[in-house]
Amino acid sequence: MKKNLRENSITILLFASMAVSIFYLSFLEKKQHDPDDGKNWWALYFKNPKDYSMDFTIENHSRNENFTLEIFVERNRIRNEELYLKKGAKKDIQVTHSEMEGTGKKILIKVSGDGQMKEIYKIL
Amino acid sequence: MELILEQLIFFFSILLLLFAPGYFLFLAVFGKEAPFNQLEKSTVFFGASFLVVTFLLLFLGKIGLQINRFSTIVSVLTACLLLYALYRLRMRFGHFKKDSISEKIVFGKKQTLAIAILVFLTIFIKTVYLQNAIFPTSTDLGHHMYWSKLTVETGQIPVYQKSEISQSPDGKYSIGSPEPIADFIIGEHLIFSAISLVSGIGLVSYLPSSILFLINIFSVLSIFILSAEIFKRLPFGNNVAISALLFIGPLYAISSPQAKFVSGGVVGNIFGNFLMPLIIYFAIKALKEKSSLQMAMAILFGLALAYTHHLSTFILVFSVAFSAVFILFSFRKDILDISRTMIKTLFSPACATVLVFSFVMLFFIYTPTYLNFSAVDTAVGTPSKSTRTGLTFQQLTSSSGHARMIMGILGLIAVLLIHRARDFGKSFLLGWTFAILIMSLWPSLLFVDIPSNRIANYLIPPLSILAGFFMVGIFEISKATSPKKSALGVFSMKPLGATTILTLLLVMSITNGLSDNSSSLSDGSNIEKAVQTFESSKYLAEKIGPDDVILKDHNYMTADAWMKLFFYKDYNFPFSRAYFKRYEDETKPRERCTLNMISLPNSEEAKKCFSGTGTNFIVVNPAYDGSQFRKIKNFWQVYQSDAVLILHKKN
Repeated sequence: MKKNLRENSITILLFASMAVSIFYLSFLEKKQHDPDDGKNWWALYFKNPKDYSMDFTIENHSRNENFTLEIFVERNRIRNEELYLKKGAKKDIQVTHSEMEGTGKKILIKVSGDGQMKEIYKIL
Repeated sequence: MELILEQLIFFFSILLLLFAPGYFLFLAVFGKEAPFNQLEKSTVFFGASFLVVTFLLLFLGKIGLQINRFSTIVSVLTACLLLYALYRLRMRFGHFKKDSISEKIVFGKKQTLAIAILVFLTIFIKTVYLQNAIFPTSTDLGHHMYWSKLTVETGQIPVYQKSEISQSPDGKYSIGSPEPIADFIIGEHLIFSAISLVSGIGLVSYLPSSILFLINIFSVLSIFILSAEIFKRLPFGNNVAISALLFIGPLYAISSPQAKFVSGGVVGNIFGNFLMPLIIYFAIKALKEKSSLQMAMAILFGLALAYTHHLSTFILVFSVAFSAVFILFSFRKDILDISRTMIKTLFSPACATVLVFSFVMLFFIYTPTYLNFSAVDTAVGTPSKSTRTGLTFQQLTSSSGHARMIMGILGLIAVLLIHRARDFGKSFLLGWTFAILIMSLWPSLLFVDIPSNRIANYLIPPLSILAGFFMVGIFEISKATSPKKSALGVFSMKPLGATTILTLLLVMSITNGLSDNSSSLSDGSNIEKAVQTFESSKYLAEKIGPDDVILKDHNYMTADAWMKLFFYKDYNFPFSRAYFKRYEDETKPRERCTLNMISLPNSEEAKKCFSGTGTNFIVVNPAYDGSQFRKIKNFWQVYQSDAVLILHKKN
C-alpha cells in the first residue's frame, strides 16, 4: 500500500502542479487579452473605411477620459469640441458639413488626448 | 465562475484526447500487469493518445466526414471501446503472460522525494517564464495555428498551400494560384484542432501554449524514463535518471528548446523532443527484452514522429543508424544471434501489423507533405549557406549550456571507457549523441544541409543524460575502496576529492542553469501591442470584401502572424513585408512587391505591384511607417491606434 502510494505520489503531484499552472496561466492570459485590463491605448477609425462617409468611432482603453476633437476640410477647421469617454467605451460620431462637398478635398479628423494625437482622413 | 467552467472543460478535453486513448492502447498491447511504473505509464499514455487522435482525424478526413466536436468525441470514444474490446479478447486468449525478463523500475523514498521536488521545480520555473509569454504573440505559433484553425473552421484536413505574388515575363505582377508548401506537417496541427473543437476554446488564446507546455513537461519525463531504462542494470541507475532530470528539468528550464520553444511556438521541435526519447526507450526495451510488442510501439511512435516533424525524423534516422553501428560493435561476437532476433522481432505479428498500418497510412490515407524529392533534396547535400556549414564547439556549448556541455562530454568519455558490457541502452546513447555531434559540428561529413543551430538543440537530451551519469559516477567512485570494487569498475577516488569535485560541479551547474533561466525571462511588454493587432484585425475582417487585398508589415508590428487567423482566406493573407534582410538573400530570391508597396509606395515598381495584385489595404506600425503615404492622394488613413495604422488605397 505504501509502495503504491509512493509510486502514485509523483504522478499525483505532476498532474496537480500542471493543473494549477495551466489554470493560473489561463487566468493571466484572459486578463492580458482584455483590451481594458491594465492597458493604456485608444483607437480612432472610420465606420466604413471604403466609402466616402466620414462617420467615425473613438474607442477608449486608456486611463485618459478627456479628448479634443477637431475636423479639418483642407486647412479649415470646421469643428472643435471636447469629448468625454470612459475607459472601455466607444463613441460613434457622425460627420456631415456643407463645406465637405466637392471633390479632391482632404477631410482630416484629429483627436487628441493626454498628450497623444491620432488622425484619420479621406480625400473626397 | 466562467473561467472555472472553461478550465474544467479544458481539462476534460485533455483527459479525453491526451490520456484516455493512450491508456486503452496501452491496455490492449500490454495488459494491466505490465512492468511499467506510473511515470512511465503516464508518459506513454500521453504519447500514445497523441498518435491515436492524430491518426483518427486523418482517417475521418480521408473518408470525408466533417471533423467537428461530435465526430471527434465519438471517434475517440469508439477507438477506446475497440481497444478495450481488444484487451478483453487478448486476455481471454491468455496473451498477457507475466514477463520474466523485464522488471518494473521502482524508486525508493528519498528518490521519490527528489523526483517530486525536481518535477515541481521544473513546472514552477517554466510557469514563471510563461506568465509573460502565454499570450499568443509568437510568429511561428501564429503560422501553425492558422492550419489548426482552418481545420476547426472548415472541418477538413488542411491542404498546405499558399498564394504568392509573382511576376510574368512581360513584367506584370499578379497573385498566383495557391502552390503546395512542404514546411508544415499535419501532426503538428490536428491535436490543437481536436482540443479546440472539444473544449470550445479558441486558438487565439492560452490554449496552444498550454498544450505545448504540457508536451514539454512530458518530454522532460520521457528523457527521465529513458535514462532510468538505459542505466537500469546499474545499482545507481535510478540516481543517474534523477540527475539527468536535474539537467533537463529545472536547470536551463527556459532556454531553447525548453520553455522558449513553448512560447516561441516551435511546434514540431517540441513534439520531436517528446517523441524521440520515447522511440529510443521502446527500441531499447524491445532489444533488451526481445519483445516484439515493445518494438511495435517504437515503430508506431516512429510513424507518429514522421507525421509530425521532418527534422526530428531525419535526426532520428541518423541516430538509429549510428546506434546500429555501436550495437554491431558491442555485440560483434553474437552478430548472427542479434540479427536473427531482430528479424524475428520485425516479422512478428505485432510489428508486421504496425508496418502494414504504416504502409496503409502513408500510401492510402495521408502522405506527409515533405515526403517528396524536392523537400528531401533541400535537406541532403553539400551545405548551401554559411548557417549550415556546422557550428564551432564554442557555439555548440553556448546553445547547450556550459555546465551541461562540460559534464555531458565527460559523461560521454566515461560511458565510452566503461562500455565494455554489451548493453543496448548505452549503444543507443552513444549513437544518438555522436550522430547529433557530427551533424552539428561537421554536417558536410554526412551530407546534411540543414541550419546547424537547429540541429544543435537536439544534443540537449542525450547530453543531459550523460551529464547525469557523470555526476552520479563521481559520487559512486568515491564510495568504492578500490577500482575493482567501484560500481564503474574503472577507478576509485578518495571521498574528499570526489565530494569536492561533486560540490563544484553541482554549484557550477546550478549557477549556470539558473542564471540562464533568469536571463531568459520576458517582460511582457508586447502584450498591449498584440491586443491592438488583434482588435485592428477584427475591424478589418468586418469591413473587407472578397476582392480586398491586405499587406501588412512584419518588421515593426507585434503578433502580425496571427492576423491570418481572423481572415481564413489564404496562408499568405494578409501578405507580409518580410524582414528586410530576406530581400537581400541571394540564395533565396523573392518578389519585392511586398517591400516596395510599403517602403516606396509612390515608386513605379510599387504602382505596378498595387495594380497587378489589387492590394488596397496597408497595415503598419505608425511609429515607423505611415508618413510615406501622406503625400499620395489616393491613400486614406482609416484606422489609427497606438501600435497600428491602417491605410486604404482608393482607386
